[in-house]
Amino acid sequence: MLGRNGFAIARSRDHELWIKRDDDNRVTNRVPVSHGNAEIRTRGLFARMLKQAGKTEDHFFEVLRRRA
Amino acid sequence: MTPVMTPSEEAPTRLLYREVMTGSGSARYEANAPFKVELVRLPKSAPRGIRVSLELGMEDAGVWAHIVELDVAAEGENAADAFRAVLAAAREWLSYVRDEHPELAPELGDQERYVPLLDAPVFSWFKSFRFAE
Repeated sequence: MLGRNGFAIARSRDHELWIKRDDDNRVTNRVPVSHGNAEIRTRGLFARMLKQAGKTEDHFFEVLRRRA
Repeated sequence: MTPVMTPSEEAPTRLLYREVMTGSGSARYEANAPFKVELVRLPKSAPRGIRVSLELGMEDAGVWAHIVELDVAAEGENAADAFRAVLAAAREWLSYVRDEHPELAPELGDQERYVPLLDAPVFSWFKSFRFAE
């Protein structure tokens, strides 16, 4: 979902760090993601990751639907 | 030739014992024994101005943790796992800021000021903890 929305991996050590830049190369969003965290288990983390990514829950599920 | 007296050959000093009462009875110690001095270096605590707040939330599926000022979140099976995970995520983010000096958009705020947390012991990072409703 992040990769399809203009994010790129900036770090991949203990955690992955996905960042998104604007046209001026400024970092506008960043989302730290645990390795192997393919499935987000808690609503709290999911909500915060969506906010960090600047996306809504509707957008997230729309991307999933398009992928299916 | 003048004989040299080494420390082990010096006349023994008279040992002086003192006695103190402790919670488990009396204890005797050598009052004139030399002090043993050990130097222990402790890392500096995080400056007060950059200490951060931790939120924890418990759900049926697990526990999430969020460092408010850094807006970094992670989750785990229990509070300890979530805490470890959010620390790792925060370190990843701060070390990226320290190493790469990225230009950040205004909405990300002044994150560079939190970089000194990387050199501070974790016990000094936080000014508050709270469980989310």
